[in-house]
Amino acid sequence: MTRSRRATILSYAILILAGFLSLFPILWIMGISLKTQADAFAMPPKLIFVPIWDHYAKVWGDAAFIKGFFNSVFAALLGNLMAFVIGIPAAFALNQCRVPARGAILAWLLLSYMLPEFLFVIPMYGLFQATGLYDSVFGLALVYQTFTLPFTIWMMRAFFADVPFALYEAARLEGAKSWQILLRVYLPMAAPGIAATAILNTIRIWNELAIALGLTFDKAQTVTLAVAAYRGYASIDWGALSAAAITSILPMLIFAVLAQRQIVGGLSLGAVK
Amino acid sequence: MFRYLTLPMLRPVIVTVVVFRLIDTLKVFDLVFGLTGGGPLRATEAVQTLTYQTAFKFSNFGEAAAIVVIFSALIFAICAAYGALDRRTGGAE
Repeated sequence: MTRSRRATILSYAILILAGFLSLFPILWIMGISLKTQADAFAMPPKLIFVPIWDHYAKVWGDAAFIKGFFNSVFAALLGNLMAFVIGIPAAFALNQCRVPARGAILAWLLLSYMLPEFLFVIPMYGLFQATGLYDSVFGLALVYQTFTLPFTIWMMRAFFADVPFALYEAARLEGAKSWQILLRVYLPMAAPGIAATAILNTIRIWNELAIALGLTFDKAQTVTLAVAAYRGYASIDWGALSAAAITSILPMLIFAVLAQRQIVGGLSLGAVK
Repeated sequence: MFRYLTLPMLRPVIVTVVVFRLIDTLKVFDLVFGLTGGGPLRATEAVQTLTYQTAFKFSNFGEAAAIVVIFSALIFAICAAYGALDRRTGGAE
């Protein structure tokens, strides 16, 4: 009895320590974003201070930051839309139809998910300049397919595999066509899976830096670039930088809290499958 | 029990996680770019920041493409080794 209780206390202590270690930088940034520049770098650090909201007012009034924020929102929406329009039928076909070299296709998809971003950025840079897709949210979303689409196919395949095959057979016997089975049977059954996949895709796109850095200049800047822009050449606007960083965390934080159950389910499925 | 039962049974999962994290870490870009930009004097350069510098700072796209293709071949090799190992031990995938 005492042994298990000791183990409980120990595991809680480790969890609290790990949680504190990973949360500390965020708390610290939050602190900087609410202090004046002088207070932010006072030694020893000022733990008790009157919060000022000037930095947030500045960031939320900054047209470049707002534009970056919404560019990221649109890129995430477009990226998800394209990934699902192609990914759901692809996953269904890979599960249900007789596909030659299925294993090889799946391995290639997984590999393309693993490849470095610049493998796509370097050739696309020239191509986008020539086609006018450079510095556009649509072009950015197109390149984001290189990781959202394979991920979507793998995830949806795992979720489709959980749908009982008897339902497929029953629908077939009733005379349903393949796309009807997909739309009427598989999609409703896999709805939580779609939610989880969309959330994970969105987080990936939201945090993406390398591709946005290479393929946008000004008009299509994403939120990560907008945050980095506060790090100027001559000086770093720490207050605004921190406020922008916190602002860019918020949507994903709310998203993650609301959808925690789906994310955990999706992660474990993606991990072991 | 943990050492002789749980840990060996978790082996395929642990191998998968380690390989995924290894590749993710090799590909690191945003952290290095944001913190040091590869400096001072390339002391903290990672492959992808080197690619970025070569292509966008020194406008040497040919060399950057060569770097990233070689790097991709390395990642491909890691994946292939993982696949072979996974098949031999009858792993999770």
